[in-house]
Amino acid sequence: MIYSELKRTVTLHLIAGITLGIIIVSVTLLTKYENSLLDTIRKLELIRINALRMKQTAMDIDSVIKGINNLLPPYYYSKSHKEGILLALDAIKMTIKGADITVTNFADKAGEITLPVNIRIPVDDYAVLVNNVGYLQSLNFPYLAINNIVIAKAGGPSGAIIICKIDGSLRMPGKEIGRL
Amino acid sequence: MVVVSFEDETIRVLYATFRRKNIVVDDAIILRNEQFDDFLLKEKQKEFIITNSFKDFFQDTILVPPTKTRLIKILIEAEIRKRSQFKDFSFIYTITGEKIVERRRMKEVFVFAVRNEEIKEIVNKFILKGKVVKAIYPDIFSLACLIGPEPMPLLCVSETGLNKNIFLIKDGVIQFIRIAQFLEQGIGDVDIQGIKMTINYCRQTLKINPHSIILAGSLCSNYNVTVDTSIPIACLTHQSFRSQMSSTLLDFISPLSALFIPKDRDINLLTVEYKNLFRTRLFLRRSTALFLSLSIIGMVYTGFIVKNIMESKNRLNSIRRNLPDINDTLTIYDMKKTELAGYMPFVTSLRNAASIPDIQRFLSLLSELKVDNIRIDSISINTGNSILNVELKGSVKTEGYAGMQMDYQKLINSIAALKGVSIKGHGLDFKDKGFHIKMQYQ
Repeated sequence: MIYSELKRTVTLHLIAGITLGIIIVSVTLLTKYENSLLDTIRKLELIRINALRMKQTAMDIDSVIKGINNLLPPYYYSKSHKEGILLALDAIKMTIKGADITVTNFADKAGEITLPVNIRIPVDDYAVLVNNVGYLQSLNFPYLAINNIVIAKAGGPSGAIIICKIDGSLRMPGKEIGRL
Repeated sequence: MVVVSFEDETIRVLYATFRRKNIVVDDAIILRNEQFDDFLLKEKQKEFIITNSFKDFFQDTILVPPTKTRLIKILIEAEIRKRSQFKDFSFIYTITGEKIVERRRMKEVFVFAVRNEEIKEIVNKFILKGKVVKAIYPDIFSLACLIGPEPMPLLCVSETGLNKNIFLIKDGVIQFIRIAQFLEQGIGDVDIQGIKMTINYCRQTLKINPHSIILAGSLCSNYNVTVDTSIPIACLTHQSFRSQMSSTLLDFISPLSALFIPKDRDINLLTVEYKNLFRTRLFLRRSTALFLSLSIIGMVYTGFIVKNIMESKNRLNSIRRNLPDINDTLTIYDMKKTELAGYMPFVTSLRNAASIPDIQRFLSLLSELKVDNIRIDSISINTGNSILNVELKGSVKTEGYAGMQMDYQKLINSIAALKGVSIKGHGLDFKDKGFHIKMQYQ
């Protein structure tokens, strides 16, 4: 019976408890909401950065494509790939004086059209040879994949001339560039 | 600390504080019974100690077999129930000694019991006003605490209204209590006769001869005795009082004595029910205060979170506003990616071309070789995966083995000094002066 005296205390205690409970729940929910907001901000920031990167990448792709187009020879879209390779072969013959060029048949290998080439260059001057090799390596469309180079005296050890033999292949992508 | 002493028609209230080891009396008031409710209503103090002069009590000395404390209590309770007419009561007991009864060792216990009804009547006054009663002491027992463990038997006399409380103390333990009503307040010749009768009772029945009479409280200041007392009479005091107690202090001896009760003396008559009630109420109040404190902290924290949320929302809106058109960007990006895929054969082709090491540069490096007295007959270059495998063949023109070896070594050293070139093997044939050197360039 005397515990009825606790009624007011218990009521206050309950009110305080309920208030604290409500505050704890509110704090929990608000914290979760705040965390989700922060997460959303982080994700949106990431999306914004990625969007900007994508924009930049698209611009980079544009400039790369422009660069590639500049590298393509002027006849690329007007002539076939084989014609292109043969034109390059003619250019080599024109550039390297006295070069003896032997070719075999065209082959289609790993998406590339290749033409095996054997070049014999008489070497009068080592510096000229170095330049000629540099020229051959500078070809990029088609490019010359050199397999091996042998610089040796031809026809015996004495009194013979020096010959540089270059084995390789002229190569070009099989598909037309810029089209899928 | 507030001590309330209920003494017949009057109620004495004593305000005291503990400062270091001293007790300082701050205030003392005397109230009439009808003023008390009003006093409690106005009083701001929450906790009270009560001393009460119980009129209807049961006292006796009983014998119990030696056993555990918990069991002793049960035995005593049963014995009081048997001997008194009390049904619902609280009691205090003190083991006064041991006695051999029928070859059995028994404990002599002095018991003092009061009906709970009387306790409740007092305590409820406080409860109804939201106050806490820390303890309720019978005034006789609290006064006995002032005397302390004196080995000499002493007969103490205190006054409550017209009643004289006469109690025998030995070794600080109450042995016997007698309440006698007299016609006048204070000590007079008639009272001395009554006291002498009690002394005789102690001598004859209890076999205890009181050494002296101790007068407590107002009896000291209201002493009008002309007859011979036969044994010495003294005033009750305590070592804590620096000088002789003033008449005001003597008047308040009963509430004052409650402040000197040692913690180990269990003379609190407050029922377990009340103790639990006060403990529960204290717990509830403290936990309510804790809840409210936590609620305030929680509210402040909530405010802080809400502020953060508002800031985050503003930031989110700002980001949303500045966000580029994602669909548009994605479409353009996909379009460009597809377009670039069409150029990938060219990129692959370029990459393949670039994977062959720079032969021109290697040939230039060879021109830096120290080839004194050396004739190079052939250079063979095989292209590998980002490396060039090179074999040099030739001969040394020097006469004499030492010179031949020296010039050959110079050639080897100059090859080893070339950047990017590592010699994998070499050999010089002294018979035909020919040599071969295998190296790698990358």
